[in-house]
Amino acid sequence: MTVDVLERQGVGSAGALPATRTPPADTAPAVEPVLSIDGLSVGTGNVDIVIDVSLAVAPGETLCLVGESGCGKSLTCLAAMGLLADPVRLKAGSVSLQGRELTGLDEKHLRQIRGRDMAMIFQDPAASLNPVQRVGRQVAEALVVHEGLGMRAAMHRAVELLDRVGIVNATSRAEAYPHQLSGGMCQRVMIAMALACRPRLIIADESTTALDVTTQAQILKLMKTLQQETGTAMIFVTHDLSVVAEIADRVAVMYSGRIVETGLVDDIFDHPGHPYTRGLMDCRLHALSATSERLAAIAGTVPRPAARPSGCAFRTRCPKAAERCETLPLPRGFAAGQTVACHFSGPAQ
Amino acid sequence: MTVAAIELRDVSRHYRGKGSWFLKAEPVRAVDGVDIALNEGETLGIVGESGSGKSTLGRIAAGIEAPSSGHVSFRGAPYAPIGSALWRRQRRNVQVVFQNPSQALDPRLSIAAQIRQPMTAHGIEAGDDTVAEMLARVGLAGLGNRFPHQLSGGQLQRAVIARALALSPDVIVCDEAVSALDVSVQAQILNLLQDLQAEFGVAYLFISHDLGVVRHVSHRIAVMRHGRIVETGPAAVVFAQPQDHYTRSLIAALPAASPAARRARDGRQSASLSKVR
Ligand SMILES: Nc1ncnc2c1ncn2[C@@H]1O[C@H](COP(=O)(O)OP(=O)(O)OP(=O)(O)O)[C@@H](O)[C@H]1O
Ligand code: SF4
Ligand SMILES: [Mg+2]
Repeated sequence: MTVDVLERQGVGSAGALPATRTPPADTAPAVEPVLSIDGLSVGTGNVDIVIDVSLAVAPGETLCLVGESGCGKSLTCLAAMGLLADPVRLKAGSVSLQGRELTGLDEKHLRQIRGRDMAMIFQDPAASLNPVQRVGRQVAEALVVHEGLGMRAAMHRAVELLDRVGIVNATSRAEAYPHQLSGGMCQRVMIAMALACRPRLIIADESTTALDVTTQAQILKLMKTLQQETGTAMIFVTHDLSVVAEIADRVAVMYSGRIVETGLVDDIFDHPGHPYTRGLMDCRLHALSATSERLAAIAGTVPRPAARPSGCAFRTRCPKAAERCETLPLPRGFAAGQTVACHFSGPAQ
Repeated sequence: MTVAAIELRDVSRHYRGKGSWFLKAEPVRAVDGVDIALNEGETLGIVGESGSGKSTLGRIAAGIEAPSSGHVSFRGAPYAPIGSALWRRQRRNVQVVFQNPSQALDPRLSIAAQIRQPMTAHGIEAGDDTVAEMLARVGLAGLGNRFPHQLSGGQLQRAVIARALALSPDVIVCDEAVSALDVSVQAQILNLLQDLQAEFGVAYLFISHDLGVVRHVSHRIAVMRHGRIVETGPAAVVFAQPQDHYTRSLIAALPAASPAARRARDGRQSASLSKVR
């Protein structure tokens, strides 16, 4: 047996791991998922960027999608929203929202669904708000389009929403243009827009990354509160593990286009199963924890999709890589509700 | 009494604000009466939120921007007027590494050529061996012939650091130098910076909005807000026993290190709330 499994067993017998013998191969929630993505592949020409990604998120649940720059987080989200644009296209897989298949729908139907049933919040609000339209009007327009409200009623509701997301003096702020508001305030407007039609799913792509810590804390808290009130499912993309600790129920770790590990947030932090997840955990830095002199950095860098190694894409950087890693490791149960795609990880017991 | 590598005394930098036709422009006090000293071989972290004046402070400390008032000295001597021969000699000893390495490098020149350039400009012998040695030091051995577009973000930042090191500076001002990098690559660069300090005694003025990174690399920390330093102290002390109200609010806003830490914090908060009620 490998050292890795022995180590894991050691941890398990110490009681840190859930004592399940045959873990389920899939960590999808037991309730009917709001969104399920199955076997999704996305790419350009003959380069695959996102490969065979499967994810599901339940009502009221927050799934964090984590991974380093360029691993395909944003493209996965865009594919789910039906927003892929040339030259990137969907190559395989299905996306279903509340049981309705979205792939293959035409733009007209997709546009009805976006905003009403699913909404996306982007990293850079300045780029996604219309710079020449007053923010109140932008929120109101979603309500006119999707809820069939008249403009007056929609404006009234827009102000309520702006107030709800913590914008003080919402009535007068509704008259502002995006450039007259701070980054945090624009992000709140984006959230108000996303919430306008009470969608079943919100996808937030690095939506607090550009904010200062105090603003980030407020926005995260706001999103959590609103989610508790509405039971919306949320996919939250971030590369920041402490944001994950703050907001996630479940976590999916991506590396070079594939999901390499999924599990409940506590399990991912307490006993990460994939060498890459462990590597990420080891180079975390937090102001409240003293750190050792040297960080356990992961050697090398993320490969470009066109130069991805065959088999396990992590093998050029993995401390445990062996000959077997030249073949692709399939996701396997590691502990209850935790799935790991590595030849040398688990099952835990 | 030892002389500090860089010392700022009562330094301010005011910019003309954006007024309108009926309102007189209020000056923006980017840096406002700052006193700090960076000791030889030390890492002094500067933290603060966006717009707090960190970068302006960094440029003044590096001698590339003159303060509106106050005194800046490098090893006890004031910076010479910007552009003078003496200033150029002083500048050689104080290098700067910014957030975006691709902007700092010339896309048309090989990495080796870019390391050689400032050395030649300062009359330092820059043979192939010397350049190769610099590259090896930052983990870029054999990549000297590459052009910037052929390197990753982390590799580019290493090249920028190699170019800064080539002049054997006493001080490197790092302004968000690892902020754009992935965590795994960030860890590599932080290790590199620490190794170089151990080997050559370089002092760092390390500016970042990331409190975790700053805590890890810094011996001492200064917290900046609205152009002023509100608190300074040893890294561990500032985070464990923050004295200033603003520092405390920054720390309170930090996302939790783990789900368990989050629950512990939320538990404490609701406990203290119920006490209030
Ligand atoms: N329009 C496009 N055309 C070609 N390649 C693209 C396009 N958009 C993204 N890519 C490539 O696809 C890969 C995944 O990109 P994606 O934006 O999904 O990464 P990400 O995980 O969101 O990264 P980040 O954390 O930097 O936002 C990258 O290698 C990127 O260069
Ligand atoms: S499959 Fe091999 S290379 Fe990939 S993560 Fe596991 S041990 Fe490392
Ligand atoms: Mg992205």
